[in-house]
Amino acid sequence: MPPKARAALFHLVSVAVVAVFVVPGAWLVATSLRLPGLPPPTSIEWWPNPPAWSNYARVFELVPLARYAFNSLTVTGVGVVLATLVAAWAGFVLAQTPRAWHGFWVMAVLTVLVVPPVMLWWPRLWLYRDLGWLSSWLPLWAPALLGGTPINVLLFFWAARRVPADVIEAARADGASAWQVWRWVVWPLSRAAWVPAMMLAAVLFWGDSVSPLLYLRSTALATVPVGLDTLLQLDRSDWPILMAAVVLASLPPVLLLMAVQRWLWRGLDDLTRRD
Amino acid sequence: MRLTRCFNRYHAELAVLAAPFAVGVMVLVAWPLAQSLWLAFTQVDRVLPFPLGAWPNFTLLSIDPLVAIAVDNSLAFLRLAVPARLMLALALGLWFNTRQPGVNGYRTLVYLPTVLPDPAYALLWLWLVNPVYGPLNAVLAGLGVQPLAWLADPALAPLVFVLMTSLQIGEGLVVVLAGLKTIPPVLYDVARLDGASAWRQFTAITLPWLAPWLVLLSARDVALTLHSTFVANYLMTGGDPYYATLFLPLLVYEMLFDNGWLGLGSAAGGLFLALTGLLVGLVVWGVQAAQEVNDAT
Repeated sequence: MPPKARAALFHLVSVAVVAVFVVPGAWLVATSLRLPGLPPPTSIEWWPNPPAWSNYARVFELVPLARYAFNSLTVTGVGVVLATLVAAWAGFVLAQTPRAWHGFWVMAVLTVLVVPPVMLWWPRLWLYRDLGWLSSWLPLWAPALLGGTPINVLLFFWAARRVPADVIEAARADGASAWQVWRWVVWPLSRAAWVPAMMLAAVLFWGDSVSPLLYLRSTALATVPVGLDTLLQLDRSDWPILMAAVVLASLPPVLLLMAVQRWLWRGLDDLTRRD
Repeated sequence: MRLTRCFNRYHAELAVLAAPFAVGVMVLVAWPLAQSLWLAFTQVDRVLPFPLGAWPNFTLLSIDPLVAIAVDNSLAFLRLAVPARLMLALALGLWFNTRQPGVNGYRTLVYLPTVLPDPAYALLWLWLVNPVYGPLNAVLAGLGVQPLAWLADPALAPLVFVLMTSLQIGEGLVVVLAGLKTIPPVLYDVARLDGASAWRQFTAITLPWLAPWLVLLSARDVALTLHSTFVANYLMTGGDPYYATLFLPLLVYEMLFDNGWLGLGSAAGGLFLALTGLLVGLVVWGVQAAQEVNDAT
């Protein structure tokens, strides 16, 4: 097949495949612009006429979404930094252990994933209550101690394993402490893991709907998922307003993905390049 | 003497760096898990005034029809969702493992549904499959198909959840792409010189090299699909219609939080844990065994 026809075929199939993943989002945006209170549409509306931009303003009247968005951004920003640090440190330390242990560490981290979260919610509620953490964001940040998700620890573990041992030996011979080795050698060389890990953590903290509903005792601290939960009470014919809220709640992670995608795909090459 | 001291000091520093994660695992997972398992053997909620054998909660679980339904539903969901997610991630990984210009854009768009917040994704789907307002039935009408009841139909409702989770495979795509990049291109050159067909190249080179990545991915997917239905399940169906979408996390949640049956719910959680552990273990062990057979032949 000539290269031009090959490329054309590639793009044709790719667009068809990607449409499955994108079209629901396009419907979501279209619905969010539909006038509330209308009868069901008779056919698919790709762009309502006239578009009801006022739905977006209504969301802010019905729930204090600006407040919730500020709270969510704070929780996510701090959470991502803490989670990434914890995961990067743990991954580095695991990679510094004798190679014979490495298979065991992967299994151990996977074991943490096997535990159903629903089993942990009551005991954690007691723990946070005893610590006096209810009515603060500390319960929402607590998962950062697990690296956001243990998968992040594995990501940094693999990245740290790729750092040549003699580079670390040389740094240690120069008298570098473990902290210095991590900060000046391993962390810069783990660049490949940065974006995937931060992305995973950001999605986790931003989308966390269980923790705020279980552990927050004050609406002033509530996050965006709580707002969605409140708007769920709207009548079906008013759902364009709810869909506007869904668009707003989805926007930050989508924008973040768009912003970091270059590094995500490039990091993939770094992570797996063979020496 | 000095060397040993240096060595010990470095290890102590490493321990400090590992401490936050270690504390997290102990305090947020191990200790709550121990408490939960302890509760499973107590009758804190006094569900029954009379003793029910040595393990009353587990005896109750065995006679509660909803437990059997939830286990069946979760396993049926797993049987469809995990292969669908893996096959899709593998197919997309193979397709997008190219240097064509624009490929990164396609990869990002495939990743898109994966980053949506759980409640937003659930509400989006609740809208898509709405029998009256939703666009999916409008598409079917355009094709001349009768409208479907989707979440109100016991046969279709679980499939909606399978469909939902099958479109959130961004991480799987990344893993498959990463795995594909570890394969030395020279292997394919040699295979082509030998006249190996594309299929033969796939089964003899691609699959064996991807195997460790696929094991990890499937192990994670088994745990993830079992555990992470909760938010969508809770917001979209609450287990309806006729318990057709009552999955294990929702059952355990309802026992613990709606009914306040701490003992019984914890016992159901223990059952859930054992089931997840068994299935993840089977995946890891099964694939390893298959690989050993493969290596031996």
